[in-house]
Formats: sequence, C-alpha cells, structure tokens
Amino acid sequence: MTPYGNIAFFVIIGLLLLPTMLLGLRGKSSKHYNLFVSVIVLAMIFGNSLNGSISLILFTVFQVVLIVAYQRYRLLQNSGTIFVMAVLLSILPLVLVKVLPILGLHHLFGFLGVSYITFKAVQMILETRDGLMKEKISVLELAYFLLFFPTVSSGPIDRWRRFSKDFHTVPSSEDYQKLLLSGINYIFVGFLYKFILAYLIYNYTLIYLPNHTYNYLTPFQGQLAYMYMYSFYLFFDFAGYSAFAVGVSRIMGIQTPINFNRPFASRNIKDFWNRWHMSLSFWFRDYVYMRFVLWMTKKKWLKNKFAISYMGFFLLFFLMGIWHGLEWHFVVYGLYHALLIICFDKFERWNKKHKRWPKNKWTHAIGVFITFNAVCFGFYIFSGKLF
Amino acid sequence: MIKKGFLSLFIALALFTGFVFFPNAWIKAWISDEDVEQAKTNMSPLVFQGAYLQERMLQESNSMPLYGSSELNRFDPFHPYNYARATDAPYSTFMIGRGGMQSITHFLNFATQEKNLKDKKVVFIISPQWFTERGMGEFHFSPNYSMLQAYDLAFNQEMDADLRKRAMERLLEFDTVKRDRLLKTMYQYQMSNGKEKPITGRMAMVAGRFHKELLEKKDLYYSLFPRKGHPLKSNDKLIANQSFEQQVQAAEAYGKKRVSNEYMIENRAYKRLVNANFSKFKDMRKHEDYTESPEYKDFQLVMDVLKDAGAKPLFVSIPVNGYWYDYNGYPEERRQKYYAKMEQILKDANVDYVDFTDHEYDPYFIMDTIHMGWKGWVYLDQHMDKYWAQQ
Repeated sequence: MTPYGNIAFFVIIGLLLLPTMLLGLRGKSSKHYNLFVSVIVLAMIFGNSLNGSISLILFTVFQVVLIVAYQRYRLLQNSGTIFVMAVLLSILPLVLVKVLPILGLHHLFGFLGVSYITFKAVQMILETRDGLMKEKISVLELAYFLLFFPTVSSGPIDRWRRFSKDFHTVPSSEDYQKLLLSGINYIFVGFLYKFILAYLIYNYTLIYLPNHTYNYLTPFQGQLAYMYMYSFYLFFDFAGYSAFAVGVSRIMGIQTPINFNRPFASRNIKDFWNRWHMSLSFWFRDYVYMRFVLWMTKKKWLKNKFAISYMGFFLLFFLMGIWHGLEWHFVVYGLYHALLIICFDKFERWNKKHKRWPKNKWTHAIGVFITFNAVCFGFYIFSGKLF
Repeated sequence: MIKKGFLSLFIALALFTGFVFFPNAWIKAWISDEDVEQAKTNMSPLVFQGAYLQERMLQESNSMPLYGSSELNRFDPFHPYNYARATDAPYSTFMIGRGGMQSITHFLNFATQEKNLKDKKVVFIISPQWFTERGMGEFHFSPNYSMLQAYDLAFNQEMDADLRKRAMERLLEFDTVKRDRLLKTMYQYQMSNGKEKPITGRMAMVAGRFHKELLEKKDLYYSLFPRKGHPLKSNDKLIANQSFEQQVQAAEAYGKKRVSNEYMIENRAYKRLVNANFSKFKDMRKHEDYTESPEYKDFQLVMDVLKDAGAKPLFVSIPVNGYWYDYNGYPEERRQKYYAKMEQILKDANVDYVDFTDHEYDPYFIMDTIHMGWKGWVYLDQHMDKYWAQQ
C-alpha cells in the first residue's frame, strides 16, 4: 500500500493511532505502543512485495550494524580512512539502487524510501565522527528512527538528536493536545494540497500539456503552460505529502521538521532553498557544503574563499541533481541551480559595494517575480520535457 | 485556543456525517425541473459521468437524446437542440458527449441507464476518428471515466450475463480501472460467477456497495447545483417555418460568412491550426486506417447494450472533412473503405441508421476538420423529425 495514497490508508492509520491519542491526552507515554503500530504499518506498506520486504530488512540491519560498529570504534579511535569507508559503505546500497537498473539489473534490489533512510544513516555516521554521539544508542530506537513510518517513503529527513529527544519526552496532556491539534491540521492541509489542488491541476491542465491542447495553444504556449503548471503540481503534490508526514508524526509525539515554507514567495534563490524541500537542502548544506568548505579551508589548497564556496555549491547541487536519478536532465537541473546561486551571490556582493538595488517593497516584488520564474524554469528542466 | 480547535474539528465531523447520511429522497425533491433543463445544454462532464440528471431527462416522455462526442457542443442556429425548440417539434433533445467520449464511455453510461432506456428513441453519432489503430486510449478514457457507472456495472444483475462479462473484460484493460483494486476484485468476482476470489470477492462487493452509495450521494449533490447552460447561439428565424431547402440555403450562407480557406474549415479553428504550425499536419495521417480498430468491439458493446435495454437507437454515420483529410495524406479511397465497413456493420446489426458519409466534400456540412455543424445539423434535424414520427 502506498503511504497516504488513498482514504483507506488514512482510515487505518486513524484507527491504529486512536490508543496513541488517548494515551497522549492522558499525559502518558505511547512509545511502546507506537513501536507496535510502526511494525504493522511498515508491513502494510512493504508487505505486498517479498523482494521489497527482504531488501528493506537486510538494508536496515546493515545500516544499524554499521552505525553501531562505527560508534564503538569512534569511542576508541578516530581514523580518517575508517570514517570515509564507513560513509562509503553507508551510501553503497543507495548507489547500487541507482546504478543497477542502468546495467540492466532491475528488481534485484530496491524499495520505497531507500534514499531517505540512507540520508538519516549517513548523518549519524558524520555526527559520530564529530564526536556528537557519546551515549550508547539503543538498537531498537535506532531502527525506529530509520524506519519511522510517517516519513519512511519520502521524508522529511529528521535529525537523530532531535528525534531522540522527542522520543524520550512524554508531553503533558496540555502539550499533547497542541501537538494533536496541529497534527490534524497538517493532515487536512495535506488533503487540500494533494487531493484537491494537485489533483485538479493534474486532471484539468497537466494531462493536456504540453502538446495535447487540441491546437488551442501554439507549441510554445503549450510548453510554457506546462512549465508553470508542472511547477505548481510538484509543489502541491509534494508539500501535501510532507504535510501528511509531519501531521502523523506529531500525533505520534515526534515533531518532524517541516519541508516547505511558501517557497514561491522566495525573494531570491538562496531564500528559495531555505523554503523548498527544506529538510533535504539543509541536509546537503550541513553535510556536503559546509564540510567541503571546512575541509578545503583546512587543507589550504585554495586561498580564495569564494572559489571554495562556489565549488561547494557545484558539488552540492550536482549531488542533489544526480540523487534524483542518473539522467542528464537531473544533472543539468542541479548545475542550473548552482549557477543561479553563484550569480546571485556575485550580484549580492556587487550590490553591497555599489548599492544600486535598494531594499523596498518594489524590489522585493521584482525579486519574488524573478525567482519564481527562474525556479519554474528549473522545474521545467527537471521534468525532462526540455530534453 | 485548544478547545476552540477541537470544537471546530467536531463541528466539521458532524457536518460531514450529516451530509453523508442526508436522505437521498430529500435531495432529489430539491432538484427542480429547471435544474434538469439547465443540465440539458450545459455539456458538463458531471452530467455525463453522473446518473441522476440523465435519469430525469430520460424519464421525460418526449425526450430523444443525442449521444456523440465533441460535435455536440458546436451550437449554432441549426443545432438539433435549437431546432427542436424553435420549430416546436413534438420531441425535445439533450446532448450527452464531449471530446474523448467514445463507444466504451457511452456503453458504461447506457448500462447505468438501462431501465430508463426501454422503448426510448435515441440518436447516436458515430465519429470516424474513434476508429484508430489503438482505439480508445487512456488519455481519453480517464477524464471521461465515470467511477459511479463503473461501480454500478458490478451490481447490474439485469444485463445479459455474457455482455456484462465482455464489458468488464474490456474495462479491465484500462489502467484507470485496473488501478482501482476494489473495482478490479469485484469485476473478477463477477466475471467468474463467484468462483474466482470467493472470499475477498464477496468482501469487495460489500465495500463496493458502500462506495457506490457514496458516489450516488455525490452525484445527487452535484445535481443540486448544475452548471449553467451553454451559450446556444440560437436564431429562430433561420429555421422556424422554413422548408428544408430554405434551411440548407440559410446554413450555407451562415457557413460562408465563417469560412475563407480552401480546406473549408471554420476560420477560428483554422487560425488555431495555423498557430500550431500548419505544415506539421501535412501527411500526418499517411499511415492511418480506420478499418482496423479495437473501437469496433467497443461499438459492438454499444449496439448490444442498447438492444439489451430495449431502446430504439438511430445510428448516424458521419464523414470527415475530405479537403482536410486529403492534406493529411489519408486518401479518399481509404476513407471510403471505412464508410463502407461501417454501413455494413449497421446493416448486419439490423439497426436503424442514417449514412451521411457522401457529404465529405459538401461545403459547410462539416464545419471544421471532423465536426459536423451548420448544414450537417440541418440534415440531421430532418432525420430526427422523421425518426420521431416513425411509429
């Protein structure tokens, strides 16, 4: 069963989480019951494919063993080679999932959510390296974090330390009421986004675009309309999905971070990446960009800090691009955004000196307009319709 | 704040429950004859994919519906709806069909309305361009698919068992149907007379019945607020008290004002073709052939269900625009083969039909590339008059 795919899923989740809500409203911990619910829902999501279930179990065991082993090792020693090996091992399954189909080996390995679980696992190894994971990790809790069912298929990507804190906190009845209410609210926002707006955009515009317009639009107009409609569809579909994940998490007492914060109102491209698919872009910012920049600065291979920063952007967006799939349009999509960020950065620094672009509501509006169009063009590349 | 939040939640829940359990009979009582009249010309997919408004229209004793596809919304003074009203014809008509509605879509609708179709005279326009190599595709099927009608079929016990089975088999070829696991299970259960999936099938029938009732409720709520009627573009003096020849002349004059190109395509439609890059249409139908198509089987379903329902259909075989199809590289000779095949099918099926296919090159009969209009309507009006008068 696809998570959040149809009303039956919501009814089942709702019934399963009734005890969670009752316990929460009485100020009691529902931790153990939630573990039990997770097993049932995971079985529901992955149970229809034997191959998928086995892959998921083996993959999770592999990641858990890797994380625990690396943590034990890190308490004793701190070799860079071992660290790099641990990271490579951790992302190896994801790389295989992406590369094997190209080699013609479909269905050998792979399941829903493999990349989101990988993001969480890699993050734990990196933070262990930083010495931020001193306490002993419970294997059960770790598996629960990696496989937390509300976010298992497509995020948002939570952080271990944050998750763990929520997991061990039992909210008071009053606090739980707030959580429950906002959780339900998120779920209904999700209904609006995914099942009403995304549905309407898809069924009333997107299926006729770009070139099934019965000649009401010229080919160019068809492509243009497709670009905008696809962008809106992408947003409402994914933001709706993320809202479900956040909502269900809250009902279970976990405050999964939000993924979207009105991205089309961004005033520039940097602002956009702080508002669009936030848990992913923050992950790449913290674990790819920042690390790359720090490492380059430390090694002193390059003196120019802007050059380092730009290389960091290219690395970040290149990886983000191919993560979507090993296809040219995803690579170009990534590089396009790297280019936008760098151009904007240059402009920002130039403007700091020359002060040609004042800050007022007009420039704000123009900024939003330009960003919106640049971003939509990016999604147009992303859609694969351009080439 | 929290209390308010939960209160609004409970109110929403109560309202929702109220709407779901509101008695059908009360909603029906609210749907006025005026609403039904509105729905006759609003060309809304909610009407086509629904059941209740069509039921009301069919129950009017003097109605003779017109089934077809995108030609039906070509309103002009000669359109059958305008004609029947302006000439005070003893019948009135309403239109069911829009772009992309082909045989299988109409089949599902007829199946749902079977009991209202007994002894009913209906007109069914067959479009040549349905009969492509692939027939009905997902692209046209899905926006015109009616879940209500598809679920209704699973509970239809009156239809001939073999016909019903053939239809379910065909419907299961479409992704839209296949993806609906509940419907798929019900169909499999019904097709095998309960032999396949005896337990899950029976459970699916219970869940499906519940789902169907919800869809019926939804249809009733939609019927309460039908979309406004389509602009009719009527001009009664062109048809009222005019002889057939006068009407033909009026239609030609009407068309003449709106066509100024060698392909005899109405100017606005022509402009769209030019905008879309005219040369891409040259020879685009070079390899098309309408004599081999899965649509033939679907059309057989339509003839069979109308027979099963005891309706009295008049089938109308229409041509395409000859000038345009020549440009498309679909030669006349090959087109004639389709026209001949269609006529043979109608003849063999022993049904009433009209054959307009010798009007391919008749100016203003077809108003654009494929849609009949203007003079085409005048001819159809005359045949509808005759058909209604036949005892």
